Amino acid sequence: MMRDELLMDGSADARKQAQSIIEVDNLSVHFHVDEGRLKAVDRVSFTIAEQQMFGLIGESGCGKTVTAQSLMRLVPKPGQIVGGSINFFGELGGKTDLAQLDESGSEIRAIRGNEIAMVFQEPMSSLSPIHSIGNQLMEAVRLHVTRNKREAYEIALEMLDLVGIPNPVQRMEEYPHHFSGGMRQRVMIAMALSCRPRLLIADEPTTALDVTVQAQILDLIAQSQAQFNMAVLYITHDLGIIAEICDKVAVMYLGQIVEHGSVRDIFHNPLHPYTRRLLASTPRIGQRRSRLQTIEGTVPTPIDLPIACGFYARCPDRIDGSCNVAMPALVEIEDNHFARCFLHDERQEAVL
Amino acid sequence: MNAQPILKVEGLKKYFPVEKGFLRRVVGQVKAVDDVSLEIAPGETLGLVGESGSGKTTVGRCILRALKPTQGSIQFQIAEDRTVDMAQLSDRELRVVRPQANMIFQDPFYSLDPRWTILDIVGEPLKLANLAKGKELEDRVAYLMEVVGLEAKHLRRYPHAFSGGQRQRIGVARALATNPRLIVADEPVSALDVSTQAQILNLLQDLQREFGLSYLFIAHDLSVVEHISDRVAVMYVGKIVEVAKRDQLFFFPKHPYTEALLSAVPTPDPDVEKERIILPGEIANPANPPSGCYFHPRCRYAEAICRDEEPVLREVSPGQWTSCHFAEELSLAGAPQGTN
Repeated sequence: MMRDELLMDGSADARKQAQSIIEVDNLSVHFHVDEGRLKAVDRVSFTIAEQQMFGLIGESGCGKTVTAQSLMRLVPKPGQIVGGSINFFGELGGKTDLAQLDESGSEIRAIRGNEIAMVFQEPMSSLSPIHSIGNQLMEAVRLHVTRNKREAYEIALEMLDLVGIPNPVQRMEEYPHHFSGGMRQRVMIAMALSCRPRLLIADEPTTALDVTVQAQILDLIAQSQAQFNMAVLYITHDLGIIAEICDKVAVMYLGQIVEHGSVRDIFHNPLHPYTRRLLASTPRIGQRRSRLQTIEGTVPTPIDLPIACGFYARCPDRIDGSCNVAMPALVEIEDNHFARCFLHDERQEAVL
Repeated sequence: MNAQPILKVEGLKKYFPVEKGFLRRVVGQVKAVDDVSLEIAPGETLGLVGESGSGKTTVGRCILRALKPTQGSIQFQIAEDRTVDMAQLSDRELRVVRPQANMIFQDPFYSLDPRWTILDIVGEPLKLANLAKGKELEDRVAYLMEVVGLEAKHLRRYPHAFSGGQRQRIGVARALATNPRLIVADEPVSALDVSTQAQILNLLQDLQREFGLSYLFIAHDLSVVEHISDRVAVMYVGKIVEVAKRDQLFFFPKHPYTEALLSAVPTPDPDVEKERIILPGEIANPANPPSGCYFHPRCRYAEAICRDEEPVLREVSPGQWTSCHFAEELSLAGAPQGTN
């Protein structure tokens, strides 16, 4: 496949050809809480190319959701973007730094839900229980696509049909509680797609669903991506999903990206000890292991941490005298394969 | 060779009445569990998988008599020479039997009372069964804390002081408190992160070896079930559609629903090519199930007979029981095997 080659091939030429849709550079998001300053997102950088399926993986509390919220400028209080840039390349080639926009200003509202759309884990909390599905879909369409009610209705109907909801005409009149979990997630996807976004952020969209319904939704997201030529930022804790649908992967731990590369790099040649352990602790069908590998200890809370690698205390390969006194920098170790670990590169990063 | 099973469930049914109107007339039955039979040998782990609404949790709750079954027998061997039918026991008799079978719950954040100390939580089953009190109780709880990998000195702390994985360890300690023979674990790791999940799975396996426990392991995550189970049963709309030894079920499934479930599990290996079977529609409503085989509206192999006749669960190869009219003829795909 052309596109795959383009994205997998690490050569400089191929890299130039893949146009970026969003470039996140050194993004930091802090929460000022009673206990101090919580670094939810700590100097995160990544680039998503047009039409790319980009996976962001990490365990609960690693900052993956806050990262996604920052792209939409929806970080909840008391969170604040304290540094870095989020350059979004608009349809006409213009570049906008989303980090600089006013959270409730007209500029971000023109992009949010329009050029960048989002699908959340729990569709019930994102749908209004007192408005019909049709009205909710049409509201989104009328906000961004057309003021005409008739046209909006047609688009909403077309979208419901597209995401595989049977009897769309009748379903338009119904309310969210009439829909099953899988159907609600389809409605959310229909809503997200109705404005033909160029970047879809999917935050654990299948976590609450059964495995057969999950397969349906993953299929739908992959199909829509191809049909609408969108890029997708797919956030999950499930390595299986990442392996099945993503081109590129970033692994987050304690607010930072610790490793970043193609899906094959991450699964077949993981560099960071956290990535390696994460892979080893995942049960796989057909793998005869009497015990799973585990990661000792628990994730610390990112408040007033000492200057050290965040994984130091749990790392089986830690180097005392290096890992506990300085922060490793995210360095390109192999072609297009980055890791933040002193095992591979001695470069340090200054700590904010 | 075949040891006496520690648990033998036969023809278990649990119907919930559907009531309507002011007089609460019964207008129908939700057949949450409909004629389920299963066995667990001493020291064995039986995995029970199925989608939400398949009735797997209800089976677990009936076995522990948290719910009273509508019909069926639950033969439970409470001592080497004594077997009781859990389905028939009175509340008073249950109190004597209860310490022998315990439950581990899914969510370590909701299943522990935040106002109780760990000593209260883990010690409660011992108190209820009059097995220990005072200093003896405290010693036993301290011992259990160490067994599950927590520090005994923390036994006067409250649940909020512990992380998700640690709380699940507390849940395990509580389930172990009365030296049970059987533990029903209902989605014990699905609320946990991958690395914590691995710790709890290892712990459960260690404890099984050490104390000769039998597990009914209820889960929807097939990779986890495959890792921990000796045998696996698959439920669909209140019925077991297939039960077999782990490798038979995962690599040589005979029921089209098992095949579809296996194909839907994402494989953590980007180089594995496989056909993902996308089942149309959703799990049937147990209040109004389809005719014949409940799976036929979603089954890609369905023929006329599947709509008209309900298949029976039968032994289609040694140790493998399947309820599909075409179990012998179909050649179904098992789970894909990864390269690493």
